[in-house]
Amino acid sequence: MKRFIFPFFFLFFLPLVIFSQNFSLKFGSVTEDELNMKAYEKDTSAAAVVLYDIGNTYYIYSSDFQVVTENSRKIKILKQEGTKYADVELIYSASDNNSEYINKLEAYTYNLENGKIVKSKVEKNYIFDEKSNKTYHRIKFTFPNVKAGSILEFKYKRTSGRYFDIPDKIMQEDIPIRYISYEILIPEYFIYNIESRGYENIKAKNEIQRQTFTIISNVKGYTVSCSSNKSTYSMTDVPALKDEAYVWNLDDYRSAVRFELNGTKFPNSDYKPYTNTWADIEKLLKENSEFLTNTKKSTSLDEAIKINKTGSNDKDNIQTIFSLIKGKVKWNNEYSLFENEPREAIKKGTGNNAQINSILISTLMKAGYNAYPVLISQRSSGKLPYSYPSIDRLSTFIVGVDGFDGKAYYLDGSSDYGGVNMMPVDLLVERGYIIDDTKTEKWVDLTNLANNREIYIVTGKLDKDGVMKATLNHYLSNEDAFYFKKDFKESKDSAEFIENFETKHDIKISNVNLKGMDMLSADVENTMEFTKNYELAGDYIYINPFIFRDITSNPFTSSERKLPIEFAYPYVYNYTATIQIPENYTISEMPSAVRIVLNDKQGSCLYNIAQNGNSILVNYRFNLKQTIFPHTDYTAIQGFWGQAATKNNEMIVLRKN
Amino acid sequence: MKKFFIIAIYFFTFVSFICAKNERADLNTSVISETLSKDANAIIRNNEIFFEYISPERGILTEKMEITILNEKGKEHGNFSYPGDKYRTLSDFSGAVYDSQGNLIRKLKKSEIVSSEWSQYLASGDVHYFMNIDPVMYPYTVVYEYAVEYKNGILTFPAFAPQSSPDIAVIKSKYELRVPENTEIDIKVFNAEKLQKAKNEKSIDFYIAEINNRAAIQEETLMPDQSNYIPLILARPVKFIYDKVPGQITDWNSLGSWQYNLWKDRDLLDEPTKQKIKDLTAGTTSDREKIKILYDYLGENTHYQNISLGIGGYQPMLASEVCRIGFGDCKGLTNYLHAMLKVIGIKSNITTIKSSESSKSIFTDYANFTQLNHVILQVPLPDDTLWLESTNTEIPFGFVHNEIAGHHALVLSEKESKICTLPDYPDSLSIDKNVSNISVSADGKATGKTTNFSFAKVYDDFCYIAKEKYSDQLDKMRSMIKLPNADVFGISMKETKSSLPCLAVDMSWNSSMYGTKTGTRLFLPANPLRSGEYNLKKKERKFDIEILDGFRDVDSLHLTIPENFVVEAMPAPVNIKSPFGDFSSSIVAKENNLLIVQNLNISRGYWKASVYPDLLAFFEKVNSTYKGKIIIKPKE
Repeated sequence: MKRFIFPFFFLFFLPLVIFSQNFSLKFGSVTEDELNMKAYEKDTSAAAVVLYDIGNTYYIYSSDFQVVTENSRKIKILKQEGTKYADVELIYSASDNNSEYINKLEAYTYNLENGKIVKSKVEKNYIFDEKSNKTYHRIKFTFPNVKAGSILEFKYKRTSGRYFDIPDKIMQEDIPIRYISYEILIPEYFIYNIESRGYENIKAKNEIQRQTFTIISNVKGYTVSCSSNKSTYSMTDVPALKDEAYVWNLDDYRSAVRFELNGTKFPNSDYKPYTNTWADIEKLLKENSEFLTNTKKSTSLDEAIKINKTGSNDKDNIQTIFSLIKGKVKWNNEYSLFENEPREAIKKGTGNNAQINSILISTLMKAGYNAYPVLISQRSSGKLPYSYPSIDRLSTFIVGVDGFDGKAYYLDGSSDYGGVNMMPVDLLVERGYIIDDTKTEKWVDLTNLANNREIYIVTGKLDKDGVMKATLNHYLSNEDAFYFKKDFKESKDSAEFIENFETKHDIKISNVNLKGMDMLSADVENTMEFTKNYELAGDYIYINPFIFRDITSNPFTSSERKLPIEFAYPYVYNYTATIQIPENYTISEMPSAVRIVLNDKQGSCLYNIAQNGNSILVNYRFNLKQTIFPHTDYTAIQGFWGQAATKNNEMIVLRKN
Repeated sequence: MKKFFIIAIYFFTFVSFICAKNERADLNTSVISETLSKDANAIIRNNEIFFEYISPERGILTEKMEITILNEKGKEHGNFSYPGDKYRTLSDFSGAVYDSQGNLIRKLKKSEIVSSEWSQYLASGDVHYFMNIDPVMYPYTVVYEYAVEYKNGILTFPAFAPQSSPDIAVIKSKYELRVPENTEIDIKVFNAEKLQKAKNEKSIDFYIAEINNRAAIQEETLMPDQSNYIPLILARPVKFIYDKVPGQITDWNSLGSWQYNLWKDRDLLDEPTKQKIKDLTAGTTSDREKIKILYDYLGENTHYQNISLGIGGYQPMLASEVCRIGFGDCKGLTNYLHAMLKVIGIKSNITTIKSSESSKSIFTDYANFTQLNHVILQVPLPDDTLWLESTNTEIPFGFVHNEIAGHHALVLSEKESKICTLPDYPDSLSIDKNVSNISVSADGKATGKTTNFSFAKVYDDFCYIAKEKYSDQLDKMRSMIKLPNADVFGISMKETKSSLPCLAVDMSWNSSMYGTKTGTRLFLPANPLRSGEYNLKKKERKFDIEILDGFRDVDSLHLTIPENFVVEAMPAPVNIKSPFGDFSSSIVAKENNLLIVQNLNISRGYWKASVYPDLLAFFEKVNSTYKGKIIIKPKE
């Protein structure tokens, strides 16, 4: 098959050919069609649209390499609400080493007034530089004379000493983009891993170009010529990205191109890898963490080492060590990848999760267990790239321990309400990388570490006044126990916690007994005595046997969905009730039993109800088995939850004899 | 020798002030009384604020704080934070953290303080100083001492407000103001004892106040404004210099006059602009219509941005400049509108006002710069007075919006600035009304058409929806239907932007399960559009009750049930009256047509805490009635 070769000049004209109306990609040139535009035809509700965003990144050399990015952008304001896009801020870092600066900023507003094009300039005295903190500054300005119909156009140049760090190019925003293109020219000395994200199709093109640099070495200057790779990414008619519920991190789905330095190869030097393999990442971590080197100097807790291993349970031993360390070092609400100075943390009595984890690993190792770090990117930090190892995207690590029983256990220093296999959901990611030479399988899925379940067992007696006296035996395990303990601890006091429980379920509690509320416990037991009032209507009493409802309403109300649906964790919700009805009443109507499934194996809901003498027995079991669902499953999920919500709200009718 | 001795004393006193001691047995937390720490998340052990006013262009604030953080919720109260600006810079800081026994955990150094110019505005001159302190183990005590230099612009002395958050209890907090002898100052004290005045030998007047043993405040729903119970002292010098502009303010009239002079002669526009304004308004002889034309013109050609540097915080940008660049803050935009009206001979008055959601009034007996935070334009007409909001001309012309209606305002004038109250809307006009037609079939499916009307204040809160994306509008209207299964598939909106505005939203919807089905019976919700108001706690009430604005929720639903069905049970009629308002619910069934009418009227007002049980009982009945069910079953 003959390959079709695209002549160079076609590339230049191609973007203009795409539009049937007259739009200009040239800075300073505004067309009548652009000014007359009243709506963006692909999304008529848009208050503003980016007509073009053209970026261009390249390397220069003067005493050292620098990365320069030039960007020009044209926005059309379509409605009054869109005038907020007139406020622009450009963030740059101005720390001492490798700082950035922004210059050559030009910005103009164009309006059509009485058939004439009026151009207003953003003046220098209305451009402000704010020092937001020690590292970051913001250049802030607003366009003059902005109204519905205005065209706002600006360009600027950013020069950065951080030549090893190319920021992500975001190609999707909260308003639609008509045309976006990004060209990046990387000299052969820099080898980058590049990955695209998002649902929209990004057109990519690569070609080789020659570049020359004048490099000064030992006072002598010489010119080098190198081969550079020019990549061009472009998209047309990019829809606005809308946030939805049940998404861990919206940026995972935003169209973008990401760059991460793999290594460098300068002339007359060897190839210097940055992080092109996990072994390299491991090496870098070892240089910055003492626990990985496993020397005598690594910080561990002496008293924790002296636990009795023989004849006792692995899980208990590991948890005892964990508990001792947590007692000495309190978590300060920070997550980190590198654990600088764990000894400082012991001295201060507080530290980030990496410091606690490093003490934990060292102590476990000294106690004879094989313990290792599992590198992750938290849910809130976005998913790790699939196509290459990345140190930039890692946000922290948790601890893995091999029990003598062959099982693997996981813990983290940030876990204030759980021991083994119980931690904040932000850490329960699909892919964690294990740093342990003895393991062949390096990846571990952390989304389903333990059986998360919540069980309600109710025994009640209803009297003829519609008042039910009942007892509740409530059991929570693993993640459910974790969050129950957290809610309890974070309530102002136990009175507030109980009051919230009462309000949520519309009951009046007379007695409460909580067990298993200590940090390490994976099982919480909540025993309560309560009463509940039901409405009498003449000869009838109507009761919803579901006193502690799982699903009161369907959270999936949107008609359509573009993003995947991501739940916190798989779980089982089990509700059993035995309700004795009043003496001279009979059951007139009862809900029917049902079995609902979600896509065959991903979720199930079983509901059984039967009469036994003068009691009603209800048994309900809701099971969510999968955490992440593609958006194509949305209709099925919406239907499944809707049916379950209906069952949670159905009534039993009792009639007086 | 004597000299050395004196220096040594100075040195040791200085060092003991600044250096943290290794042990502060006095900070042991076991000595804190239970009654005082109850309900508190943090407790101030000792707090001393000294302000030395040296001259209108120089002052020094020193504050010493010793605060014990009792639990996780109080964590933020242990952090240090000071809002500075170009006239107030942090000059000194030192501190330490102690454990529950009073043992030193660590020292806090000035170098750890972070300073940031971050502001949400285009430019502000703010410099924020802060230091976050990580807790080790609760309880712990944070101790610090700092100094701020005031250079210029001393319009007000630092306020005394030790209970800056209701969950902070105070053991002892002292305030001391030092001014040159006979300096005139204006003071107002709330919920604390009057300041004691003293003189000393060095010709300095002292004003001292102290509060002791204040318990934390448990917040309650519908509480009155905090100036009713939080201790607060406001003080300011009568004479001052701000950014080289001198002033002397004894009351609201003199404050208005000072501000008026900052605005004077800044409302000139160039000839072409004047001509344009005349051309725009030439088509009508009605003044009101001309004003509306210019009001709309302002909104279409300007947008809001805030640049407040120095006197720019009080003096507006020149009207000609706002015209030229097309943006400004509330002062600049109001000045521009005022200038435009002047061109066509319409007089208007600059009005400063308190814009707030939690309170409508200012202290009419105490004038200062912090109570009035916004600027609008008063346009007196023969039949009527207009109050125009220049920062948002989407607000219907002639409608006084929620953040200013009924609020105190100061109309500026050269010699006669007066406090007045803006018009407000009676509760009966703020209506949220639903008219629905719903049809249920035997299998429990339903189709419905609902029109939701929002009037006056309800309109002001809800009109944002008219500008949302269609899919967001659908989602918002869907959330108004309290059913597990429902779909909204058609929406149309009609906005009436008159001086009594209204938004009408029509929606067509259906549900695959209207209510619940058990066997052959259907349990239908009496009103699926309401879920009740206010989450009131069943505890004993401490504070009085205040409802700032009343409202009316009006619902009428026509419900058609299947032909062969009959009503088995339905909620009884309700008709209750209370000091806070009344509520009625009636359901009338005629064959298979039911009419459900429910009306809730809430009145604004202020009531003593003792009537709380009545408030609770009233809303319990309202909320349970809204949840009522109509049970239907097939005819036998």
